Amino acid sequence: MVDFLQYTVSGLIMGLLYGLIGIGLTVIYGMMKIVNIAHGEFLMLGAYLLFTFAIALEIGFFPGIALALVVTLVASFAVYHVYVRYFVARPIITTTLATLGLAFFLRNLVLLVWGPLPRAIPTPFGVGAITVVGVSVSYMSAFALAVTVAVMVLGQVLLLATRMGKAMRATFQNREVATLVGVDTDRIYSVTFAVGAGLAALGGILIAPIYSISPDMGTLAAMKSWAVTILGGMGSLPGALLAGLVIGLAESLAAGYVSSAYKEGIGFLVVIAVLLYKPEGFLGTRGRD
Amino acid sequence: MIRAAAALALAAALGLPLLLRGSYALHLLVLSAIWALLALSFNIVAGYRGLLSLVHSSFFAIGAYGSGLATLRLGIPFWVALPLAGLAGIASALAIGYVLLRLPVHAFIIATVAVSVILTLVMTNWVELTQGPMGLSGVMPPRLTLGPLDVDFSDRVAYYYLALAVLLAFVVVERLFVRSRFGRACMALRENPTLAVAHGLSPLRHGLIAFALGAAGAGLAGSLYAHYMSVVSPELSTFVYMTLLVVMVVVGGRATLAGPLLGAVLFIFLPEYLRLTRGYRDSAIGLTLMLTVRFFPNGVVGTLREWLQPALRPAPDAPAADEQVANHAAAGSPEPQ
Repeated sequence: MVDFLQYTVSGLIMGLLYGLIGIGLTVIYGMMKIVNIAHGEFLMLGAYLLFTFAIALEIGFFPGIALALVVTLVASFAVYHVYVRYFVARPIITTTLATLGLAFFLRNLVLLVWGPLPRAIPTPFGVGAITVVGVSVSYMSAFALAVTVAVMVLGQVLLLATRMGKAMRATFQNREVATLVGVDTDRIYSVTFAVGAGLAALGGILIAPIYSISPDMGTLAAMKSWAVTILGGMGSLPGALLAGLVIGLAESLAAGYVSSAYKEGIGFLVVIAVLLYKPEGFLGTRGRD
Repeated sequence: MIRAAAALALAAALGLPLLLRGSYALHLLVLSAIWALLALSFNIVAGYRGLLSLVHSSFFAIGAYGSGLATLRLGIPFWVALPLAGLAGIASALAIGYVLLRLPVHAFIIATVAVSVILTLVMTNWVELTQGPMGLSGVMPPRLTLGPLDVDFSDRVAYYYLALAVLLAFVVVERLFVRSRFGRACMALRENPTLAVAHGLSPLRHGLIAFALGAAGAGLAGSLYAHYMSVVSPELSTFVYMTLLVVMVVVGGRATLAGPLLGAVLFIFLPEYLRLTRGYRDSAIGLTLMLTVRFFPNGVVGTLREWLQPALRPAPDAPAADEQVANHAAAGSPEPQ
């Protein structure tokens, strides 16, 4: 019973992180109809930047997180302006090829800069854990959980309460009409792309100290975020959150009770099983595009 | 003029081993022939049918494992294992396509990546069958003894002509496909799915057949690769191989016959002669794909064709196709495959 509770709690925490990363991907798809294959590479970039700032340059863990986030945001903003903007509203095969090239380029750039060896990022929290009725959650996981929830709430507030948020929601619903009423869609897209990549980077930053970082982490994490996005319904934010929780839970239970070798594949089995019956995902709408 | 170019290319392909005596150049030539077959098979799905299936390198791996295991464990001769590898490709493509081809276009692309990850995991973890990350080793090149004829294919020149023969056969098949009613139906489904469906074409059925045809070529290429390299590892199924394959087809020219052939030769020979280390090579490959998609989305062959014959109908990525997508979005209609 305690085992079951432990798997459930760990699964839900991981799931919330998957949801966060998945939201980053789905928001880009929902706005720009671009399947960002390079999502995992931005995640990896965030993690490696944290390593560079916090460990190699020794500026400290929390300032390192902030700086890594800022650098990723600036980098993704630049990537949008020199490259991604030319693919908005192009056929899906073209945009996917474009982000596939970007992904391969970024991944190998990371490999060139940081090398192939896995690295660990020690945290200021040490190895301690909070234990409640036999279920333990490490301090780092608790921190990741708190940050994830805070960012989701903050994002929701910004989306509902600011002018920029309103313009984003308008563009999300109907690009043509949003343009007609004076929304600068190019600006919205650049912010969307940066926010999406930034959420991926934040996911990478929060996952990095829990596991370790390596040039492969981008691929695996990207797979998770894709699974989350399809399962939740492409372009649906609450769907991504729900799907993240489902996949996190399924993985954790499967790894605990069945086998951990196939853990990375479990999420996709869930995806394929669900899609057979509901091709548009949990909260997707048929024929949005 | 195109006929002359094709004849010249064929003469070069047949004559090169006699000119190139360096064994490393011959090795690259064999690899080019195998990759050209793989690229050509991917072109049926991604180029002509217009479905960006990123699981294609897994069919290559399935062919390689199938052929390797059949000869090593079951003692089946290579000449039977080669067509079996093609059939293994077809069988897996039918099973996978039957599920995935029902998805909306964008979800299809992602789901193909997902399936390829699952297949790579199985190849890595099913150690009893595949020997895990170590891979199969000792897959032997065949030997042909027919009466007085005795050819040992461990000789690179002999193996090159074997790979070339399979490649040429597939070129003929693909040309027949492009010219056929079925091939035109596939291109119609790519160009304007709504109109094609209204004319009674089935995205699922045509997708499935194109998928299977492509996987058959990939399976054959896998078998040829396994018996040439003598080693099969799960790496063949990964994203690295898939991206290389995409780059070959896109840079060479999607939906052309010459494009994938050119792309394969280019991307096997160039990195070797530029003496790039792996990290720089792969970054350069990523950058090449980015620049190609941005500035020459129709690839080398497609762009040349536009320059030489400007009156030709627009290629797959011309603005006309963009407008169709925009119309889909505006009409709020689903984008069928």
